[in-house]
Amino acid sequence: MKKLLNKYCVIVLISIFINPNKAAIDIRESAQATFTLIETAFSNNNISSISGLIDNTTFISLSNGVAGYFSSDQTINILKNFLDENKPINFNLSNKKTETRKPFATGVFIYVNGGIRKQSRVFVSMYLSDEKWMISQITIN
Amino acid sequence: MINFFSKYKFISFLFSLLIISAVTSPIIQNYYHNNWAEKLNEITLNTETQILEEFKIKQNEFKLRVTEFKNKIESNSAIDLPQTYSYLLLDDQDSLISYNGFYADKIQIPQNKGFISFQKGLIFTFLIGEQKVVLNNKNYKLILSQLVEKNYNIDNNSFLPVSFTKYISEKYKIDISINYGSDSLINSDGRNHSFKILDSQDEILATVTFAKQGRDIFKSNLNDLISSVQSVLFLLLLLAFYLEFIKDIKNKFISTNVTITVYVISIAIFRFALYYLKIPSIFISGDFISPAVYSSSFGWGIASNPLELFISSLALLSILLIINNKFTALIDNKIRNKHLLLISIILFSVLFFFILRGYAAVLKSMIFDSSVNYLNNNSLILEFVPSVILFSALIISIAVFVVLYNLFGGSVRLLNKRFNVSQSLLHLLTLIVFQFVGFIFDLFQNEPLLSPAMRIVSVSAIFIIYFISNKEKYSIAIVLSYLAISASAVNSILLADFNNQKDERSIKVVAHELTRFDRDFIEANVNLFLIDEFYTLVNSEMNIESDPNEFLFYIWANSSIKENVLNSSFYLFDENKNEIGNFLFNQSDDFSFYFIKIIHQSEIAEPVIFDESIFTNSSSIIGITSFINKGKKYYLGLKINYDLKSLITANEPNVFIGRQKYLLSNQLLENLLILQIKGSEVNSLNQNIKIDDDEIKDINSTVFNNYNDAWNEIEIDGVSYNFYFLKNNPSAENSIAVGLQEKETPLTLFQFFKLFLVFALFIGIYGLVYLIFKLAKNRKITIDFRTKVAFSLIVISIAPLILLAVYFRNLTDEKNLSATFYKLNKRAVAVEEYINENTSFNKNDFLRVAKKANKDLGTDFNLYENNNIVYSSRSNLYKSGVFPVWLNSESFNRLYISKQNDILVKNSIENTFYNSVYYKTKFNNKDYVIEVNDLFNNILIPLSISDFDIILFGTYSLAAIFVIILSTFLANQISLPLRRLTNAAKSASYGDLNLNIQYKRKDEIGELTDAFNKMLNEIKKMQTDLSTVERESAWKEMAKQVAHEIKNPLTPMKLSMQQLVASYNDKSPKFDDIFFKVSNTILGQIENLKNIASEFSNFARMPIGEMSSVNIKEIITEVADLFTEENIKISYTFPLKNILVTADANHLKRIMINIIRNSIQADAEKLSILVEESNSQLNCRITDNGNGMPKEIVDKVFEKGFTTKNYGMGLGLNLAKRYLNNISGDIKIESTSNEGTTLLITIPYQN
Repeated sequence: MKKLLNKYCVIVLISIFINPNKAAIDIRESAQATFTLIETAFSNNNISSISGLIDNTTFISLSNGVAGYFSSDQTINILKNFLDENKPINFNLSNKKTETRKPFATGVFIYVNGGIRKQSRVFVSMYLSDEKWMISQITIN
Repeated sequence: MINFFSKYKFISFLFSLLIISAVTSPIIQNYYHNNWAEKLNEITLNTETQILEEFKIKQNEFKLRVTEFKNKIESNSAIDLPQTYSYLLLDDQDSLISYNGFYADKIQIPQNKGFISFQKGLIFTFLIGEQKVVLNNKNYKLILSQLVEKNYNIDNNSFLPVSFTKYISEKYKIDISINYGSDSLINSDGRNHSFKILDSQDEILATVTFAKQGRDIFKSNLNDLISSVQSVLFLLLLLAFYLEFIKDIKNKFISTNVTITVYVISIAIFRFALYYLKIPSIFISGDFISPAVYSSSFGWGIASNPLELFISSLALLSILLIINNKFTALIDNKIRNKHLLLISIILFSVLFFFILRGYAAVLKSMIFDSSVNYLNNNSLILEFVPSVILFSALIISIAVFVVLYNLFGGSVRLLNKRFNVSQSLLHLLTLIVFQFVGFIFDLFQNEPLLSPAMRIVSVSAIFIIYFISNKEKYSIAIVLSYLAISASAVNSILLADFNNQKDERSIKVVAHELTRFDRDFIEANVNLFLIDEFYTLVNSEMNIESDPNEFLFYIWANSSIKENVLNSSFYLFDENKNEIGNFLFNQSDDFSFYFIKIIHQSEIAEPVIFDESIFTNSSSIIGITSFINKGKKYYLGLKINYDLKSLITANEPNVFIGRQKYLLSNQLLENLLILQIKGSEVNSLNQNIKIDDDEIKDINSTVFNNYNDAWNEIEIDGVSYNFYFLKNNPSAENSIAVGLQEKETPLTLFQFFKLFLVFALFIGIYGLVYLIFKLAKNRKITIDFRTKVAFSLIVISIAPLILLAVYFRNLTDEKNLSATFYKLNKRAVAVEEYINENTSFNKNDFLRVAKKANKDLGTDFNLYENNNIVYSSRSNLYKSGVFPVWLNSESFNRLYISKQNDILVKNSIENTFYNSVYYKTKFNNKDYVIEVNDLFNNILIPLSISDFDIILFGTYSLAAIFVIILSTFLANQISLPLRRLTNAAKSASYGDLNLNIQYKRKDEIGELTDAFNKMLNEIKKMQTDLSTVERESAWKEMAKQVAHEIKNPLTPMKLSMQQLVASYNDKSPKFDDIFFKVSNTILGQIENLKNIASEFSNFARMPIGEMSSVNIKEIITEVADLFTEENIKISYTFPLKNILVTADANHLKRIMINIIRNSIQADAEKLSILVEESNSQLNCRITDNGNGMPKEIVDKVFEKGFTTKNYGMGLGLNLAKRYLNNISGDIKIESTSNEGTTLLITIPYQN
C-alpha cells in the first residue's frame, strides 16, 4: 500500500513537472507580474523602471493628444513628460486578461492635472518577445 | 571684497539678483498662503473677465463676418467662404433661396430674438447670426453659421479639429466646460466657478464652468516661475564667469593646448547647463520641444527633443572645429618619429570609422526615434520642426566630414613624411589603408550601421575631395562647400536607407498588430465597452431620440473601438424594440434582425455577449445592453469582426481611419501584400492576386526561427516583396506574411533628391547670409569670372528643364482630371441605366433598386432629388451628420441654374480633397442627380499626379545635378588660364618676375599668355640692364662725392703737415706749440673723415620702408593665394589669436614671395608655413620638400651676390636678411637635406 502510495505520489509529481499547462501557467503569472510592474512604475512616476519592457515600436495614445507608434526612447520621454504634467495618484489595472498570447489589461489612472484631480481609462497590452513580455500598446484617455 | 565687487560689477549684480530671488521666494509664497481667499477671488474674477473677453472677441469677429457677407451678397460679389462658415439665404416666408458652405444643411433658423446664438448639437456646435439683406428692393434673411466645436477626433493628418473650449483651456491653462445654448444651467460650487455669457439683449448664450485654482497648484506655478527666473540668472552668471575666465586666460598667455581644452570643456559645461536648467525649453511649447516628434536617449537627454538636438548639434560643431584646428597643427609639426607616424595613421583610420559610425547612429536615430514622416509623403513642403531636425543633421554631418577630411589628410601628410613617392600614389596608398581598416572595423561589429557600399562611398568621397582640393589647391571656403555638399549627399542616402529599414520594421509591427486583434481581444473589448466605456459617453443631457444616428456616430468616434480601428456596427433600438438608428464602420451586412431577435428573447438587464457563429458563419463578437435616457429605455447593439480579412480590408474613406496612419503611409500601404497561409492554401488578404504553385512553394520553404517569425524575399506576380512571416507557435500550420514591395528607382531617386534639396537649400541660405554680411562689411561683392560662367551655364541649362517640368505636370493634371471625369461619369451612366432597367419607380422599390445597383455594379453613389440626398450607398456617413445631406451649392447652381448635365467638382471633407461627378438624370420624369466620387470609389489613373511628381522630381533632379557638375567643370576649364594670368600679374606687381605661364593651345588666351610671358622677360631684362646702369652710375656719383668729401679734410691736413715739417727743418723754437696745433688739426680732420665714412655707410643702409601694424596671417594667406595656380601646395598653421608685427607689408610680401619662389625653383611640391609665438617673438617656419642645398653653401646664401641659379642676382635672401635685421628680426636656415629645407624667420611682435 505504501509502495502504491509512493508510486502515485511519484506519478503526480512527474505529471506536475511534465504538465504541458505548467509553461502556460508560468507565462500567465509572468504576464501578471509584468502588469504589476507597469502599475508600480506609473503610480510612482518612475517610467525608467520599465524601460526594459518598452520595445522599439510601441503604440501610445494619451489624453494630451499624443498618439502613434513610437520608438523606445520616444516612448520613455513621452511618458515621463506626461506623468510630469499629470501627477499620478493611482494607476490600477483592474481587469487583466492573461490567458491569451497577447495579454492586455484595462483600468483607471487617477492623477492631478493643473491642481485638479482627474481620472482616465487605461488600456495596456503586451506581447512575448524573446521569452520576455514587452508592451505593445498604452492608451490613457 | 570691495575690490572684487568693483572689478566684477556685472557678476556681482547677477549674484545679488539671485540671492534676492532666493530670499524673497518664501516671503512671496507665505504672503499668498496667508491671503489665499483674497487671491483666489482675484484669480477667479480675472479668469472670468478673460473668458468673457474671449467670447466678446469671438462674437465681434463673427458680427464683422456677418456684415461682410451681407455686403457681398447685396453687391453680388464673390464670397470666399472659410471652411468652418456656412450660410442660408431665406425670403420673408423663411423659404430657402440659396445656401453655401459644408455645414449649410445643419443650420437651424434661430428662435431667439438676439443677433447671435449658439446652436448646440451632439457632434457639432455652431455660432449662428442673423442679418437682414436687401436684394432688388426685397427683404431677405441671411443666417450665417460658424463651427465652434467638433465633439469628436480622428487621429490622422486629414482631421481638422475645431474647439473653442480647448482654445480657452489651453490659452488660460484651466479646466473648462462650456454649456452652449440658452437652456444651460449654472453649476457653481466650492471647486468650480460658473457664470453666464449673455448677448446684447441679456439672452443667455452659454454657461461657462471652470475649476478654481487650488492653493497648492498656485504655489507650484509660482515656484516654477521663480525657478525659471533663477535658472536664467544662473545661466547669465555662468556666462559672465566664463567670459571673465577667458579674459584672464588671454592675459596670462597660457599655451594653446590649455586654451583649447578650456574652450571645449566650457562649451560642454554650457551645453549641459542649458539642458539641466531647461533653457530655452521652459519658454517654448509645441512640437519643437515634443519628444513625440523626436527623442533620443543619447547623451543623458541632450537630444531628448528637436530643440535639444539642435542645440547639441551646434555645441558639437563648435567642439569638433576647435579640436580639429589643433589637430592639423599637431600632425604637421609634432609627429616626426617614424614609428609614431605609422601608429598615428592606424589610430587616425580607426578613429575615422568610429566617428563615421557615431554619425550614422545619429542619423539612424533621426529616423527611428522620430515621428516625422517627411520621406514617405509626396509633398516637398517641409514644416518647421522637421526642417530643424534635418538642419541639425546637416550641422553634425558637416562637422563630422571636416574631421574625417583632416583625419584622412593628416594620414596622407604623415605618410608623406615616411615615404618619398608621388602625391597621387600617396593618396591612393592612404585610401587603400583606410578601406582596409574600414573592412576590419566592420568585422568587429555585430551590426555595422553602414553597409559596406556606403562605407566605401563615404571613404572614397573624402578621398576624392582631399585629392582634388590638394591638386587644385582649393581655398578653405571651396573645400568646405565640397565637404558640405558631400555630407548632404551621404546624409540623404543614409536617411533614405534608414527610412527603408524603418518601413521594413513597420511591416513586422503590422503582422503583430493583425494577430493581436484575435477573438479574445475583441471579446474583451466588447465586454469592456458595454460594461464601462459606453456609460461614460452617455449623459442625461443628450437628446438621443432627436438624432439616433448622430448619437451612434458620437459614441463610435469617442470610443476605444474607433481608437483600435475595429470593424464595428452599432445599432440603437427604442423601448418598443424597433431599430431607430445605426452606424456601421467597415461593415456592410445588416445585422439588426439578430439583435431584434435577442432583445425579444430577453430583457437585457445587463450586457449580454455572444459569438456571432451561433447565428451565421461569420467571425464576430456581438453584445447588447440597455440604458435609460430622458425616462425612456433604449437598447444598444454592438458587433465587431475578428476575422483577419475584415481587419485588413478598409472600405471607409481614409479620412475616418486613424491609427494605422501613424505606422504606414498611404504610399507604403499601396505597396503592401498581406498573405494568409494555411498549409498549401495561400490567399492574398488585401490585393486581388492569385498565388500560383511555384510561389506557394517559395512561401512554404520559409524557415521560421525560434520566435516563430522569419524574413524571406519572394517574387509574387512578377513583383519582388520582402516578406515578414509570423505564426502563433512552432507547431502551428497557419501563419500570416506581410510583404513590402521593393522600391522602384524613381521613388528611390525622389527620396534621395527630396532630402538633398533640403540640405542644398540650407547651404544656399547660409551662402546667401554670408554674402549679405560680406556686402554689409565691404560694401561690395566680387563675383569671379568662373562663378559667372558657371552660373550662366546652369541657368541656361536648367531653365528649359523647369519649363518642361511645369508644362508636363499641368498636362498630366489635365489628363488625370479628364480620365477621372470619364471614369466617374461612366459609372454614373451605368447607375442610371441600371435603375431605369430595374425599377418600377415607387419609392420603396426605387430605393431597393438603388441599393441593388450599388451591390451589383460595385459603385458607391449618392442620389439627390433637387438638393436633398434621397439615397446613399454610404448612408451611415450621411445619416450620422458628418457629410452634408444637401447637394453642394456649386453643383446645385451649375446643374439647375446653369443647366449643365454632368459636371466634375473638387470637394473636400476635413483636409482630404476628392473629385465628384454630378450627373443629372430623370427617373419617372423627376429630376435627380447621381453623384459618384473617388472618395468612396477607387478610380485607377494611369499616372497620378503624385506618382508623376515622384518621377519628375527624381529624374529632373538627377539631370540638374549633372548639369551643375558639367557647368562647374566647363567654367573651371574656361577660366583657368585667366586665373593663372591674374595671379601671375599680381606676383609680378610684388616684384616676382621669374614666371613663365604654360598654355599649350593656340587660341586667343594662348596669344595673351605668350604676350604676357614675353612682357615679363622684357621687364626682367630691362630691369637687369637698368640696375647695372644704375649701379655704375651710382658708384661713379658716389666715388665723386667720396673724393670730394675726402678732399676737404685732406687739404688742411696737408697744409698742417707742411707747416710742421717747415718748423722742424727751421728748428723753430715754437716747434712744440706747432706740433700740438698740427696734431689737433689732423686728428680733427681724421674725425671728419670718420664722420664722412659713417654718413656714407648710413646712406648705403637698406631703407626700412613704411612701418605699420601688419597682421602676419593676412600677409601669408595673401601671398599663398598668388601661388594657387602653380605646382606647389602651400599649407599654413597660425595660432588662435591674430599676431601683429610692426613692419612694411610690401617688404614682408616680397620676402615671402622670394622664399616660395626659391622653393619652387628647388622642385618643391609642398610648402608648409607654421607661425608660432614665443616670448614676444614671432617664429615663422617655412618648410618645403624641395631638393635642399649642400651644407657648405648654407652659410653663404644670405651673402650679397651669392646664387646657385644661372639667372639669379643673389640679392633676394640677402635683401630679406638685411630688411629683417633692420626691424630687429632675423632669417636663418634651420635645417636642410635632400628631403627639403626649413627656414626660420623671427620678428618681434606687439602684445
